[in-house]
Amino acid sequence: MKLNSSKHINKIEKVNIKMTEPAITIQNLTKKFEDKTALENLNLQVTKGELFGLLGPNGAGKTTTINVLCGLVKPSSGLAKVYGYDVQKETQKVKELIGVCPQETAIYPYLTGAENLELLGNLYGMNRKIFKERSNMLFAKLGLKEDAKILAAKYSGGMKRRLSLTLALINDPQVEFLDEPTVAMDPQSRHAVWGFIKDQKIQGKTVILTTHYMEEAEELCDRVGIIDHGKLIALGAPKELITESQVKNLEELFIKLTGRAIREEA
Amino acid sequence: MKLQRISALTKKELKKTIREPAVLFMIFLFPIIFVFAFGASLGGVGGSQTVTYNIGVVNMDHANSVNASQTLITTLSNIKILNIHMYANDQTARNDLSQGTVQAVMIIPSDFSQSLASYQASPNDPSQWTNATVSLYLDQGSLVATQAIPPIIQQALTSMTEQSQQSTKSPFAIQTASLVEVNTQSALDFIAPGMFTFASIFLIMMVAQSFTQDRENGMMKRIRISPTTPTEFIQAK
Repeated sequence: MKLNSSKHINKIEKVNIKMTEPAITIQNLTKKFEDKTALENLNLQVTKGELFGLLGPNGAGKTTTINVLCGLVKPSSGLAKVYGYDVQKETQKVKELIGVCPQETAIYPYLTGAENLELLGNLYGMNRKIFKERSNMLFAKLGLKEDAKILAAKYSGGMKRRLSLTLALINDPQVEFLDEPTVAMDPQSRHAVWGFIKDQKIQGKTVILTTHYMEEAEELCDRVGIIDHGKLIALGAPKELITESQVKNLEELFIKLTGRAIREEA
Repeated sequence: MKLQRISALTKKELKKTIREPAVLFMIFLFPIIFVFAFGASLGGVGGSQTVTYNIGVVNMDHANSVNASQTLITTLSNIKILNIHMYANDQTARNDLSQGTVQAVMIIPSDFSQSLASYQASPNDPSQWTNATVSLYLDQGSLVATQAIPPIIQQALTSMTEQSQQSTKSPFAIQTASLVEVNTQSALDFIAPGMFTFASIFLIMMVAQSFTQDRENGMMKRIRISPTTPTEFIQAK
């Protein structure tokens, strides 16, 4: 059963009608890498303050979507906007609005946690006082305050991921792209990050979350979009999708839509 | 271009250099080790083996009575570190010098014996002496030879006049040909160019490695997403 049917696309329309101010607009977005199509006519709208989950198997096109929205990858065709700014034409304005936590644990191991954060603060041209307040708050919320002056190389895997998350959010972005932020975290760290992400939503931030943990998407996301082979095959609130598809949970729906075959990463 | 960004990235690069022992080793220690190892393998460092210098001699002095030039040649031949090769003319000797067969060419002037005789006749009256100039051509490529040979010849000439320690005057002078300059170089002068070259090469390698590391660990993506321009990023590297 494929849910890219009219029934599910109608749901997109219904939800979209309620949306007033879009944070992200994607129209007919296509991205081809030589002979491989990573994204094919993708249409999506995420409203301001929404916590949106982008789900899909490995190589489905999640990271490519984020890369296009950040201006890192030029789309083959179509339009992508963040807060009304075209990501291709007004890249600098988009950069001021977004924060990205990449899939990789992107930190400098030879710098301390505080130095890593200071570097990013300087790259964003942050005022010293604002930076200090912001870094103290982020370190406290993600449980890194005590270890801020330790070299990042000595951090545990979970601490490195949390540091990577703080680096993404130092500039207080309006739109946050979190690419598998809880991968390789223990349950304690994961729950701490979940709490932090929920807090971001309360603060009115728009969060785009990609994850392979379906319970995470169920727990956190207002809406989820499932992508496979570069196409959006399902979109809606997790509970509504589960009810409509008559499955027990999001994972079952995910398997139902994308199949059980192991995907090769591209 | 914003100075805050460039200085932050530069500071980061400096911290990397200081905190990563591998980087420190490659930039500073490895060139030193390499230069010494390379020098030792070519016999330039340590030098426990006996060093000999080949010296070509052109004797223009053909005096019949007291032949001082023969005495000088004998004196030089008795010095263990010198191999004396006799040449009939100046041109052949200098050809061998340019081909590296000999490391120095000494030309004994025709008035050499006469000069010594004038000295012996009135050793305390320099106005009566006939001054003679020994020409010396040195292999510029052999810096050790250029340092060692002139003092040895000077000493041989001094021994011929049997000067007292108080007197510094002698009828003989050594003239080093203007084309062959004797450089006075320190050990640092030898090592510095090699070290600088190696440090530069490794520095370039480190910068290249830094780019790939940034790309692999996702920091490049983070920096590209920030307002940092490519020019600022490259400048800081």
